[in-house]
Amino acid sequence: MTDTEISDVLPLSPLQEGLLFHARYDDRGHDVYSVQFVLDLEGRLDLDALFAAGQALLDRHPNLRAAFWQKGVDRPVQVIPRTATPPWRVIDLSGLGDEAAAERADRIVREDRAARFDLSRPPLLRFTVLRRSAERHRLVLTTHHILLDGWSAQRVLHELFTLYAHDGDAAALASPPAYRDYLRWLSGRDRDAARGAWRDYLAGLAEPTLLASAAAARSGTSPARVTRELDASATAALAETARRHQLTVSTLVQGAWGVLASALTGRDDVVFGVTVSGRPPEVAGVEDMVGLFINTVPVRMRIDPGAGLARLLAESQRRQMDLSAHHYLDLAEIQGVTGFRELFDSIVVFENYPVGFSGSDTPAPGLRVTGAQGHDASHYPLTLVAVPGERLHLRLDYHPDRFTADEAGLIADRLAQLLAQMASGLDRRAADLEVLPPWEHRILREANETAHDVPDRLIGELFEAQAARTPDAVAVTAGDAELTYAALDERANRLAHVLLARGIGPEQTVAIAMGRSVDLVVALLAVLKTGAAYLPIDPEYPAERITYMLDDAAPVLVLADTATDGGLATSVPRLIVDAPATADLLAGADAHPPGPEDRPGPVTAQSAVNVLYTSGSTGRPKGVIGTHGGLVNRLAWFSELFAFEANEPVCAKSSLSFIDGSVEILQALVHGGRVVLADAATAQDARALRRLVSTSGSRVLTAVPSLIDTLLDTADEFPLDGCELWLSSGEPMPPGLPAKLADAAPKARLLNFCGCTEASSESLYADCTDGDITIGRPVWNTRAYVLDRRLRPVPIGAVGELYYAGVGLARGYHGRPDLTAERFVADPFGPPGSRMYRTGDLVRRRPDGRLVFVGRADAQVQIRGVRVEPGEVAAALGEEPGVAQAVVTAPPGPTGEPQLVGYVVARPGRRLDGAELRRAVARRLPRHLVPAAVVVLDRFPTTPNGKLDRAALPRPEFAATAGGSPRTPREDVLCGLFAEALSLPRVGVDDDFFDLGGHSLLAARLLGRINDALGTEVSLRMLFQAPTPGELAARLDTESAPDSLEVLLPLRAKGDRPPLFCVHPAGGFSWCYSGLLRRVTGRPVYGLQARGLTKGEPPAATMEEMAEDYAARIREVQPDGPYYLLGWSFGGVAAHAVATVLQRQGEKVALLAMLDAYPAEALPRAHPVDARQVLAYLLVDYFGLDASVEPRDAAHAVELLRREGMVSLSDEHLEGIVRVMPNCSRLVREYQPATFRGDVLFFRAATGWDGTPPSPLLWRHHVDGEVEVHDIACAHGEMTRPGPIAEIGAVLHRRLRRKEER
Amino acid sequence: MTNPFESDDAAYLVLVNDEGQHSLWPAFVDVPAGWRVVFGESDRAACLDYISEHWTDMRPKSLIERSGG
Repeated sequence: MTDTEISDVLPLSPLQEGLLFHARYDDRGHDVYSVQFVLDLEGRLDLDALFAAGQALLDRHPNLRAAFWQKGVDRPVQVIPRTATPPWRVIDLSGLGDEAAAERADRIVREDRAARFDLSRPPLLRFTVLRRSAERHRLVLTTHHILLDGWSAQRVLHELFTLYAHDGDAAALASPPAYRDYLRWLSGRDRDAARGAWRDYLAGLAEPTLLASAAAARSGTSPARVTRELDASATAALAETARRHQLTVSTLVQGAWGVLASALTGRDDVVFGVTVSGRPPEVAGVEDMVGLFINTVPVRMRIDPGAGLARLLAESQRRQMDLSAHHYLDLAEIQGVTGFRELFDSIVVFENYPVGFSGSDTPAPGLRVTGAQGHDASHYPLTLVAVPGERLHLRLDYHPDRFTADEAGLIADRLAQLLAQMASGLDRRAADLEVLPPWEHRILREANETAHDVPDRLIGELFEAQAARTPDAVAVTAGDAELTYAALDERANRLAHVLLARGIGPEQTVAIAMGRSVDLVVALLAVLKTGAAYLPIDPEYPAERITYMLDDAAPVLVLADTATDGGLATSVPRLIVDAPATADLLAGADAHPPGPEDRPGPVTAQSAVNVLYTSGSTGRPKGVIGTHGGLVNRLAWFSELFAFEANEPVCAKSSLSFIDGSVEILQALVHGGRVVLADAATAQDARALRRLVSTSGSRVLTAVPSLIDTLLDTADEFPLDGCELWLSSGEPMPPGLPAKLADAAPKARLLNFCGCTEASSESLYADCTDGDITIGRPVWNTRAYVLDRRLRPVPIGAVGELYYAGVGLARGYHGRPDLTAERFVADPFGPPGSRMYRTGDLVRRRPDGRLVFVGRADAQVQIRGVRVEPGEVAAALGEEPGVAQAVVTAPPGPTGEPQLVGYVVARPGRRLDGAELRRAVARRLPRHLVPAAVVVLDRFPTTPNGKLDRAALPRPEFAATAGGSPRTPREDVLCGLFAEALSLPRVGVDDDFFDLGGHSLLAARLLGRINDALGTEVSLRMLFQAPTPGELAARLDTESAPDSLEVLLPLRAKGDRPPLFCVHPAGGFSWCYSGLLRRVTGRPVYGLQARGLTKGEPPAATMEEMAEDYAARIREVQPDGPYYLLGWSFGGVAAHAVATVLQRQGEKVALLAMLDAYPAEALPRAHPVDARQVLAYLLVDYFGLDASVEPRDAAHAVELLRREGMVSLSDEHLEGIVRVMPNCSRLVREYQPATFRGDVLFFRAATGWDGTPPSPLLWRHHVDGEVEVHDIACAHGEMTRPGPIAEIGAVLHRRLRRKEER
Repeated sequence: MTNPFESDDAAYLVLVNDEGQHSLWPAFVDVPAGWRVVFGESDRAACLDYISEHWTDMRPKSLIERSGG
């Protein structure tokens, strides 16, 4: 468009700015803000009249002709051309059969909707007519939301047909009120007052309401939709209820959404967006205007569960009314006052504008509408559109990359259910609303239907029964020793009788502090047979811990062996099982199983079976008192998973101190297996353990997943494919484990066990063989609840805390009634008087009923106000190729705020790069979930039982990178542009645009500048994913990575005009010219860099050779003139030399620009020649460091620079400079310049000279034209600093443009 | 906080079931069947003190009875 074709240039309304932003954010694929209106028409259609009507429509509404321009302007504008003609397509489908025609029509309409508008090319609307027959047509209006809101679109269609009826005669309609009047009204608003009002409204909000926060962010798919309807009577009741309470139905819909959002997020204070009509009553004729008025603003609801619903809703409605004068403020600004990057991700739209055409309307004489539909959408992951009518229609548009269809359906069901309840009255508390539909309750109920018969026997009795069945089978082997069932039973009986004889029995505790031998198994069974509880003491534990356990649990006796006895410092009586005296005692004891009559008291399912110490994350270790009933249930349930064969070998390697250790042994013994006991050394050596598992023929193995991982990695000739059932327990399963196991043992099954000592080991289990990692469902006679902060079941898909209930529950913590009473609490869902155990695990339930582990409640952190599960981030890291294990912690960062730090261990043979991994997950995760740093470790530190030792993870050095200086020309330009956009003096390479206060509109402006400066196509999406100059530069480099040491360095490779070539100063690098990019736009900019920067490459021998070389390189890029050349200092002399070479070759040189460059005769005598002098010169003159320390070598110089926070150059770079600089110094002195035919544009450094400055006019001897001098207020060494180079760039840019226009 | 048992500001009750087992309980949640309030409402620390003082034999009551006291 030329100036004469433009009739008006207008600002954008807030929502238009927002839409422009989103169009640019997602500049590929489907534009969600393309909107479409489709009318099926019956009757003869006069196409000419229709075309004329369309033209008249655009003629009467200037804003329908608008284009949206952003390039080269600070704020985007809408440009109104004098005329614009709407494109019409007429497609004849009359030759097709009904079905084919319908199919074809649908496809055309769909494709038309998908074809993006270029918002800079008007008009942003188009018409399509599909002709089915002479009397049947489908009219499609496709436009961009930035032009029209829904209300306006209906008006436009009505006007179209009025004009049609009058053959496009504009006089048929009164001239419309102008949209620009509205824009003028907008410009007169007091934005500070509006910001203040929104700030008050949102004050104290603890966090944003992000319903989709957990899902990974991907893009490109168009929204999907689910719909629900309230029936006519419920709709009527809802309207009546609203009327009675003087509320709008819209407020009730919002209330239902608020309650639902509260339930889904577990927060009482929630926010979501609503669209407001945005038509200010004080603008004359606003109701009749056509354009975009609506805006999206936040609604905040505090869902106090105890508050009456009626009051809560009335309050919400009143507060929104108070804000209506401030509805025009753009959302980016409103979000800005909260400090949250994203305040909400769902919006509620109540469509109360006058309905458009519908079936049987007559839009014009002879025409009848037989069908009407519209398509519009939003970028929000969830958009609820409520359409009032006889039946309230609820349409939930969701983004399929954030929600599955099941999840969206669930949300819609819950919403409909809430509205139905609200219809029946508001005289109730918010908490009384039932969020979960009945069938969801059914899923929860069914998931806990786990009742199963379990033998009403004691563990000792189960073992005795097995011993009676297979007396001669081997029960246990340990090294060379082995015992048959009969022998084991007999020895255990004898020891039990010895204990009983000492008065030991139920509700007493016997410590077992023994090595891993067959005697250990004897002792374990003996204690069980007496009815006492065993307290396992691992002899390898520190003495202090052993003493603590013995003092705390106060056992009546310690069973030890000669090897362990010496290590026990305790006053508790001891029995040394392998001492000769004990042998005598045992020989004399009864060999029969003890019966109830032998015990001092009864043993029931509630009796204590063990006391197992667990160390919580904080506080002293606690003794968990398990029950016989719980352990029997656990052992019996296992038969469902695994069928023991006769003589089944079972490798037992876990310390008895952990519940898994007891379970491994007892599980085998009650099912007739053969326990293959690994000794302590084997258990701790992956290679030895692998050998034992392999040679024992074990078909089942229980281990923490990290151990499974290590076993699989252990290179060994012992195969593991004999092991059929792998039980991963004790830690969350990493995502890569199933695939890894499948590689090593294709036929093996992998189960995930989830449980805790407090609930007799496993409470949940899942088959994860196929890679679908969940923690599954409860085991026999066990219930699992996922509850919110009010102890209500959370909706499916929402995160809640996990509770266990059922027979597995322990009695509590020994001697800790307070701790017991807060962890084992009353169960509102089980039988009367029952308890549930609060695990502290965060989980969510899938629609298939299975549970998924999310993280630990105590590990949850707030990162910039958003709650984050480090476990979720770890899962994402774990999915990256090459990552074997990943954990994420949240230590305080440099500012004291927590920051996410990822730790990863590579798969064998793979190398990982932390920064690269970070970038990789940044592409998939929402911003707040991206770790600040990813640290690669050889292995994770572990605690004695093989679990991750979080406290021992190394702290990353944030300070080393934060805010660093640019390392490449691109980074330099980007840092400058970021700083400019943010109005900051300086921005470092690792500074996050958004953390520094950047918001979406600033981002849009920044992008324009970046793309102008670098000739790139950076989209907003890219900026969001790579919000620091460093990351963004890296992203750009992956597309076109210039080698920073190349002779010809493209600073900007793209541009329509001829390139500018900049010759390096004496240091050899030409990055310094990157500052020009911000001013000199529209053309490529190349730097010429000295040969010799790369090690081993010989530097130029003479200036002539150098100039010939550079001219040749230049002509590779630009074969013919005119050429544009520039150089600073040495570079100016060299540019002069290149110019004369090009002229000699018969080419034109249109520009020779010098930045304070002088011929040899002006140079001072002394000049740095050796390496140390060069370095000192660099540090002092170039970087402005204090001269007190002289650098020894390049590495030392780099260190000095780093100390000053300047990390821009590597030692490789500095070494290059050391090689090149003395050479350049020599070249210029030995060079006798030829004569350049033309003018010189000279930029003189006006300050910083000692004595008389050299004169640019010296060049008169070497040029035959003029020397035009511009003084720049800086020293020679400062000419390429941001201020001076910007000034130079501006002059240069104007000069170049002028030269080209001539 | 994702559960109602760890707030130092909230009001709590102490519940006891027929087995003599004690439970800390948030005052704003209905008391489940089979449990009765023996203390509160009060703050968390006071409730835990009450429990430490009164729940001295942590064996289930039915077990104590079968064991003959």
